Amino acid sequence: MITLTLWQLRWRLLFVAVLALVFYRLEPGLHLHGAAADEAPSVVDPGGIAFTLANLAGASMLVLLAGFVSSDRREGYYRIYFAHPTRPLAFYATRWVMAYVLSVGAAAVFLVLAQLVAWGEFRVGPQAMLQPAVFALIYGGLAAFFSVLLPRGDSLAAFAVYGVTNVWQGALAVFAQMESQPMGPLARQAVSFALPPHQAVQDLYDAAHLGGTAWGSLAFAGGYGLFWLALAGLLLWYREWP
Amino acid sequence: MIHLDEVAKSYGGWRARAQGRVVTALAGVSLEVPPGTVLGIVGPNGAGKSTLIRILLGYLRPTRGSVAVGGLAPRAYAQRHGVAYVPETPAIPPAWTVEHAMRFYASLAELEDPGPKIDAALDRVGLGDTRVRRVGALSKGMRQRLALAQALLGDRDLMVLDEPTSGLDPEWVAELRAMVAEWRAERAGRVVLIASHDLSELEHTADSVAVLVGGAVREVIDLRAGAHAFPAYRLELEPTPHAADAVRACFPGAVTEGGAPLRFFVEPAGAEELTRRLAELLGRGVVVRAVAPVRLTLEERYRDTVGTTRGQKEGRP
Repeated sequence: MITLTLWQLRWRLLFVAVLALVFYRLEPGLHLHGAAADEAPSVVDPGGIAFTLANLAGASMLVLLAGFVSSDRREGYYRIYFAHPTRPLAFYATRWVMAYVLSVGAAAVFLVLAQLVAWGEFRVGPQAMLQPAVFALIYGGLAAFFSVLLPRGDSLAAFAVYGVTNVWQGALAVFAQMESQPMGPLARQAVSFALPPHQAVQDLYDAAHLGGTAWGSLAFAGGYGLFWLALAGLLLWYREWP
Repeated sequence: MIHLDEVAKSYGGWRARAQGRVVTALAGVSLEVPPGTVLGIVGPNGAGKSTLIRILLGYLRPTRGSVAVGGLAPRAYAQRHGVAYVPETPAIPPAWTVEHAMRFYASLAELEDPGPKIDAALDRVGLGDTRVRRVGALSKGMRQRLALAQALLGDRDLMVLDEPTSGLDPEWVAELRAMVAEWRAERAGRVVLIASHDLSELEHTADSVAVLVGGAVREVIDLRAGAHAFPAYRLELEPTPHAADAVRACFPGAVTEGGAPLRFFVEPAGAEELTRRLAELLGRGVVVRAVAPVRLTLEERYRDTVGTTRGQKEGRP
């Protein structure tokens, strides 16, 4: 099953590899050369690459999970699948876990290869993998939920949520600088709570930077992804098949 | 094997209910399918055949009533034992090759050493030479045969065929009939459900046929019982004087066929009575042109059943 599913995902995995190349080009820390490169350990901290890794892992989840439930429902592929002795929940859970392992694995490979290619040595350790692991969980959970809920466009919806979250955080930062807030604190907190916890991931980085672990932020960010994943599972179990 | 008790299914959520837009697909179906039966399901469009099949596979839940397959809820049965299912329009990802599709379905069926079973199933449906072809490049009939091949993979007790002959040429329709017979004969107690509009095919394949009209079982026609019953006869006479009177005297229940004065339907109780009454008829000087048994075809019986309700109850109530 796993081998066959990997074969089905081969073009998507190729797309993830292309994405990794794009992220390599976009990460400024990996393009410091000469004298700047010698100072790289101080210029490029673990968190710097970790955010690129997180974006790669999140994007990889969206690519690998696009339509993973919705297209089966829409096209009717499930009719033959689940006439065989197969539990839908277990079937899709397996695919989700595969996507997660591949996405975090892609980030790990990127972490190793990017450093070797850029610097010829390892300057960032495995602690940089925490952010991608959490980010993949957050966006994997959202993609799963949208895939069960919507007939199409699940990953696009999750990507739209990513965009809205970035805009929202940018707006909060701008208003903070202007020392004015267009919304009350309760409304601000409610919106921030509903959107993916990018701030919690940032807190993870800040704590790692100081040599610690922000357990509360980790629990909140991980819990956010698990919440949507559990909701997707519940909806999948409850919904009838078209 | 299959037990349905007053199964009803309506489509529409709370908003549809509030707006009175609920569509009733099944309005209380009760049906008992014993082990070893081939049951046909027929009915006009919108009669609820597809809904019934989806409920039996556990893809839909009944709005009311109860369903049991092998003593279990339908989904639990499918998850535990599997169902050899061929959908009306087999949806298989078009980018897959025939071989990959079969390997994937075999993995879902949790078959050990699936290779020989895949080979056998593909050869049986005549797709042994198309393993590397993409599903998207197959004709409709070949996709139908591929769906049939995957249904033959597992060792199941229940086969569900939804319009299995659509897209098949006459040669493969006959092959399908043979395959169903083989599958059934492999183990006693196996059950086959066939939803089809092809009444003549069902007449060859099924033991009984449930006629669905307006979301309810209007009649279950026992095709085996029909084969054993002594048939009515069509009697055709030469135009001799008093011929019609003689027939009415010898066969009291005789009725003329379609208004033709010298063609009758007669219903003797058995071969002896037929022979005796015919002798009496000949003794009266009547010249008999033909005597032929009349059995109502499934199509005629179906029309009888549906025709009485057509215009009143056809489709959804």
